[in-house]
Amino acid sequence: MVPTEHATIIPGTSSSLALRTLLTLSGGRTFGRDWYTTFFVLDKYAVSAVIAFAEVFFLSSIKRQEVDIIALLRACSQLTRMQPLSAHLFGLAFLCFLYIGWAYIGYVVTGKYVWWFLDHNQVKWEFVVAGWVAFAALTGICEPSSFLSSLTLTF
Amino acid sequence: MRWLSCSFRFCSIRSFLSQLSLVSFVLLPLFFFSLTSAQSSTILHLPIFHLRTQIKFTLLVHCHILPKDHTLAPTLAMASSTALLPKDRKKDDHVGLPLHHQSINSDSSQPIFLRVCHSPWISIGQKALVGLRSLTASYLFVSFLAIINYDLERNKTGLFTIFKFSNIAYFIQLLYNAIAAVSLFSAARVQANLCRPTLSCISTIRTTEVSPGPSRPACRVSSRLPARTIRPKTAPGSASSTLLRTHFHLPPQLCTGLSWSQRSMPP
Repeated sequence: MVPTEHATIIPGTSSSLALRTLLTLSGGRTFGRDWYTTFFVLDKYAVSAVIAFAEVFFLSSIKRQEVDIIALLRACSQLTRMQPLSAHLFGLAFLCFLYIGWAYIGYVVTGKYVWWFLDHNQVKWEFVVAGWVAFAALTGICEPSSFLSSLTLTF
Repeated sequence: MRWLSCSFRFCSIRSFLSQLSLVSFVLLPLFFFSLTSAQSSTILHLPIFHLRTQIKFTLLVHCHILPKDHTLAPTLAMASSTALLPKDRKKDDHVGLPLHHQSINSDSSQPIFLRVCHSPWISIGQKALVGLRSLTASYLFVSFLAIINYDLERNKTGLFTIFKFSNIAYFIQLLYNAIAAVSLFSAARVQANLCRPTLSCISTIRTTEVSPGPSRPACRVSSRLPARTIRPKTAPGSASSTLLRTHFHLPPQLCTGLSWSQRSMPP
């Protein structure tokens, strides 16, 4: 069901799956072309993640929101200033749906879909909607404050 | 799912897309606006591990509790150069209950700014933090240009480049790092210019005997300020300070410094 040529980092490599991309790591067509292609792939998908983790763990003291019932109750009088964890996740999901709207604008402008599961001609509408929800949910799960919150409690 | 597909079958795709794009045109400026103001962005609230050293660090720097043995004091006192965030308000950071210096700054922007501008690690001081942040921001800027150039020249994606998720994510990361670097740099400059007497006062804590218990308010930084501290002519909430902030576009860090030295003057 997944069309080929959709998840390619470099066009022409026909590595539609992440597994095939990994297989082409050594001497494949994604890597080993020239230094600019290698820099493009590594910097966009690996170095930026490393920089983000260094930012979270070493450079800033930003902490996860408090999930405190008393603070919640006290903040009920000031709704604009309330920022518990659920509000954080809700805002993240909101931004995800905002990006999906931006992707559809991109389809209207350029005639191409960003992801194959946004295309209702390839998949049914219910799967398109499921794709939206899955994207928002995956972002909420992969976001560090979600899966590190349990770790933070142990310290 | 059945009713969803039925409802989607009845509305035409084109009208659906136009509604979607209308909503997005209204909401996207809000999105970018929320990114530019570091306080209201939801992306920026990321966790750290609460290290034991960090707890000691905050306890010492905010001068409510000093360790009984003074062995830790010199290194920890050198670890940071600000004590802008009072300890007793730290629990209310993200709840945003009114702080004393919120009267001159907009909407509790101080705690999140201070968290961005202070590393939890002792070995990363403020000078190193300024260097690291500017290095990261400049690298991200250059590599962002290189990536966009690759997408335009080699991949030939054209206008589709600005719709790709990876490019948008990279741009947001660049934006965050640039804002953090610029604000940290200006904060360091403000501290160097404005708060030098106060900083020397902090360093005297290392050699001062501190008695625990009932004299805890006495060991605050505020009570140890010399009289030559720069004193603003205006009260934090007064009309003239509001005028300073709104009409002369003082950065919030400077307002913090002003309010801090104002607050820390003995009555």
